[in-house]
Amino acid sequence: MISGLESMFSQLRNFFPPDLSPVYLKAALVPLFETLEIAAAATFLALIIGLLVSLYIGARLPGARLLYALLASVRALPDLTLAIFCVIILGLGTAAGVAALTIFYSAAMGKIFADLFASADPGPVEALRSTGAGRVVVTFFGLLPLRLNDLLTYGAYEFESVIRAATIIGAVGAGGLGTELIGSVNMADYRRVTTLVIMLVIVVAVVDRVAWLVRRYPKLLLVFANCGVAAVWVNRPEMLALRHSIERFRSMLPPKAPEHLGVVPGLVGETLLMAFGGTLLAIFLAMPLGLAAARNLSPAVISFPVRRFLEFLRAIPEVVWGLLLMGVAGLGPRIGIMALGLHSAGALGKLFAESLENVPPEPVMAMTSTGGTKIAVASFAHLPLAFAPMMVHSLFRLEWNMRAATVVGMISAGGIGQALFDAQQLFHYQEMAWFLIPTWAMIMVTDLINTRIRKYWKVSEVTVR
Amino acid sequence: MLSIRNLVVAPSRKVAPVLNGVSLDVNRGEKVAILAPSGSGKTTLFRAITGFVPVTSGSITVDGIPVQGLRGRKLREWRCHIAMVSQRHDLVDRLKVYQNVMAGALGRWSTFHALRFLLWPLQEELEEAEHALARVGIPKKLHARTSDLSGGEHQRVAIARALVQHPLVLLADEPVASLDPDLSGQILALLCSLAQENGFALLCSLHQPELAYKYFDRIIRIEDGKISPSGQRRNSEKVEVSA
Repeated sequence: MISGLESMFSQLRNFFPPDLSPVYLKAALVPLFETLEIAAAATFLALIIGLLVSLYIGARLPGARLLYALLASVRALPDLTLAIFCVIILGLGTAAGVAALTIFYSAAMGKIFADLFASADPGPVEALRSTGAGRVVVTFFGLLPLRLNDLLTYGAYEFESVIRAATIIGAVGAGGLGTELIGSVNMADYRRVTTLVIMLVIVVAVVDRVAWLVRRYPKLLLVFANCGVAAVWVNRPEMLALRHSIERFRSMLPPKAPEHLGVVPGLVGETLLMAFGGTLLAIFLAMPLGLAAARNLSPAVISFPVRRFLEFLRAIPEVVWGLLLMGVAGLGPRIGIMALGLHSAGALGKLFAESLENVPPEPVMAMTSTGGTKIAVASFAHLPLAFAPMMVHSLFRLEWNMRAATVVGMISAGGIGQALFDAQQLFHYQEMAWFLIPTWAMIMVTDLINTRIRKYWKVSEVTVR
Repeated sequence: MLSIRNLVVAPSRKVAPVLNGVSLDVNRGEKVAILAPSGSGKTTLFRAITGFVPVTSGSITVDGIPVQGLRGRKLREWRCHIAMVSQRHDLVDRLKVYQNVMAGALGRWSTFHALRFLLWPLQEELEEAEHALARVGIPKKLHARTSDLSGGEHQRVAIARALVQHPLVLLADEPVASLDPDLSGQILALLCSLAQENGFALLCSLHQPELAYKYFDRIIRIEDGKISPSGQRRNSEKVEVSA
């Protein structure tokens, strides 16, 4: 036990001090800009594709339902898994990162936008219909203007998610900070890892502020669109390699089951263990942290530092947590559980705090006026009132962690993700493609159960922020 | 009992005070209605009495104890003597009815006692809740889900919670605003009879003059931040019906 702690501390010492030499900082700027380029290009493309697809669905043109189902199932594939495929098809580099994020977020945005159109106020739309206008006209003159503000708001939120994803998408060789980070870990250059993690935390903090601005003034998104165009041009895939790409893609088909099918349930089990374990750990940590971070329950002396701590926890992506933990706690699913738990605790802690802050004031007043202590009032009013949104946030986290659990698998935490990554490393592309099937199935099932539970709790929609 | 002298409540120096020299006495068992349009400061008056809004000048006392300057434990003890029933929405939906009722006892319970009750209510606590519910006429609802209650039942549970508090003063802020006339009458009659039986001072704000004249001993009005001179006993004033 003592010696274990000792080796942990000696491992930790390898991470300090961070490499802040001007030479390295200058060199690290390149992947930093790559990350920003990937994010800008992918957001731009995904916004356009997502909008077009959702308009098509909104207009209820033929095949709209099928298209919607397709969006839902593409969204079920983790972005990093998509990145592995894009790296194989398009080759190493930022173009693969742009492609992977574009596919994932086109589906994500398309689905959200389609949902927004579906829940648009029917009155004006019907009024337009009754003028005899066609479906496409109604879509452009009715649905689009009705929902424009919401579209921009959600677009800004997705932009934030894309940047977070772009910092790590490179972990499988798709360029940017992620590639640099994995390289440094593999070279056991831990002081540089610390430098990169610090950069990552700063980037995410800056993006947090920018995204807040964009949500406030959605029109800023139009300014960023120009950067998007430039980034798309810089990161365009090599067209000459098109034939090569198609060949690579064909080499993955048809998917072939691995020879030892008996190991698959074990792999699925490990991934599920990581997803559930990580989510439970996150809830366990986020409960006290969320209470401490809620500004209506805790004094600023406590809530302010706790908020910063939560930001730090969620600024570091799961994979990076996994890499950091690997140095001190070995391999296997427990790394995955801890990595998912720590990152999700940061996200859930913030959402729990917001749920507690957003409880209706009347019952709280009523409880306070009975003269109960602060803790008594919090447990009689705040906790039961915030229970439903907190449950929903936890369920969404579980779904998210299903994806994340396959992703952390790639850094030797086990499960389906590791099997998929190993197959890629051995160039068994058909087998690799086969592993997509259980991955996809797990996430779809979680999504389905999630929807059921939300219906049972009568919380149909929850704003993501 | 409840005694208010020259009460001034001004949120800031720049705007006119919401309450500007209110004086009012309500005795044990007395039922007083406040007729006032929205925005006239009656909610501010209630919030000042419960210590949610600081008093700028003047005084509020209950049994001679002033609310000004009370903080922490002392403020909680003060609030313990004053029960609140408001429009609606002031029960916690996710709690069971008995939990909402016994929340009235939070003021005399320790934190530990409160948490233990949430997880493990004792028989005598359930009986106390049932007794309170019986007095408001719905003893069967003890284990019901709060979200399943009707509007009238909702207010009865809020009143039961106030009873558990054993208050000296009960403040009712438009308790019947979201109920139909029949139910409104029942709820006000219940409040008034409980005030008489338990001997607490009842201060109730209303919109409907006819209900005020029917059930209450005394009616006051708030105009321009002051109690207007028309506040008199009902038998000395004609029933007026305003549009």
